[in-house]
Amino acid sequence: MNSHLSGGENTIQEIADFAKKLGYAGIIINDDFESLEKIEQLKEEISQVETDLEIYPGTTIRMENVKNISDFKNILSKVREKVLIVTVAGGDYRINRAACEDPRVDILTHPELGRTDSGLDEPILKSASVNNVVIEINFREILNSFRKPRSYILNHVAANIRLCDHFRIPMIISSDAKSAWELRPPREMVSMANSLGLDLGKAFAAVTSIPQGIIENNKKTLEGKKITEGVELVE
Amino acid sequence: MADQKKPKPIPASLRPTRRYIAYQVISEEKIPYADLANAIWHAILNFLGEFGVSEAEIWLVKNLYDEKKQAGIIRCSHRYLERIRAALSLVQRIGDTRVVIKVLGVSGTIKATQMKYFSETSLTEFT
Repeated sequence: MNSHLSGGENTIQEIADFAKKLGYAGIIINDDFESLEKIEQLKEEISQVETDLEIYPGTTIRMENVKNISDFKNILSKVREKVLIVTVAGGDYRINRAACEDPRVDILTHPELGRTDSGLDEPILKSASVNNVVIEINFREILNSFRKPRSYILNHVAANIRLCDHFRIPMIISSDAKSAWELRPPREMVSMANSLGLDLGKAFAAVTSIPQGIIENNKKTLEGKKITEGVELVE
Repeated sequence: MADQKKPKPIPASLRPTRRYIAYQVISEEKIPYADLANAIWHAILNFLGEFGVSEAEIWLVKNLYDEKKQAGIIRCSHRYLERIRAALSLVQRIGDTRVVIKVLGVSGTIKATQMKYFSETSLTEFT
């Protein structure tokens, strides 16, 4: 979700308190990428928060801030060493494809945003499964739309769920909230994904084990313990 | 015809299977029950449609609503449980107040729901 540092409404402390009330065990503060200084500022703010919740820094690369694909790769290489989670805000077909073809990307968010189709096709999904890119179900889009647009979004998300199931790509569900009041309890988000056709077991994994796996994996890589896929330093 | 005769109760094996959802409303300000019920009906009708709601067998249990804790019970069919939960999460505003409806849990009877989620003494205290 977004904090007050990038267009969000609440401070990280308020978000953490509210998330605790709703039954979360950990949250990722995923601010839009503007500069490397902002990332350092975010990390500093997170370290000052008093809570027993686990809070991780992340960043989202938006297509508005990117001129072309080579610029996107440039930003990606700068950011990858700094934060735990790198997500790419999809929607544009070229960005969707470029994100899924890069193993440094963790999550592709809302590939169906502002489109008349689901935004994913066979080449994208094949490269996503090779590069371990996770596709996200964005809850804010569903929450903030109404009637006809919402029905289209639900249809596109259901199509993505069906496709990801076929190509065995893991999915995660995220609130992507701009304000603490847009957060919803994790079990309710599981229900929404389940209603759209995601298997209940996979839906539970989408809010528990899959995000945790990404975080642990990236932690090892950033600490230098993991050298490459299958090669790790063990003490 | 003043006192309408009730039909005889159906055998337990023929009765529809239901679930009772215990929920709590987290809100900026206190919310009157009538507004809440309206908002929940709107959300469920918008999400499932009239036909879906008829199959889901919704009943908002009015007399079990706790004004102080802002907690209550909704009945639904067991087949529609996940969809009703999803619909409840789509309630965002009631009037000008921002709200989140949090599901505390689900049970098979009203009695068990009250025992599990609303009673002040829990069963574990006696063991």
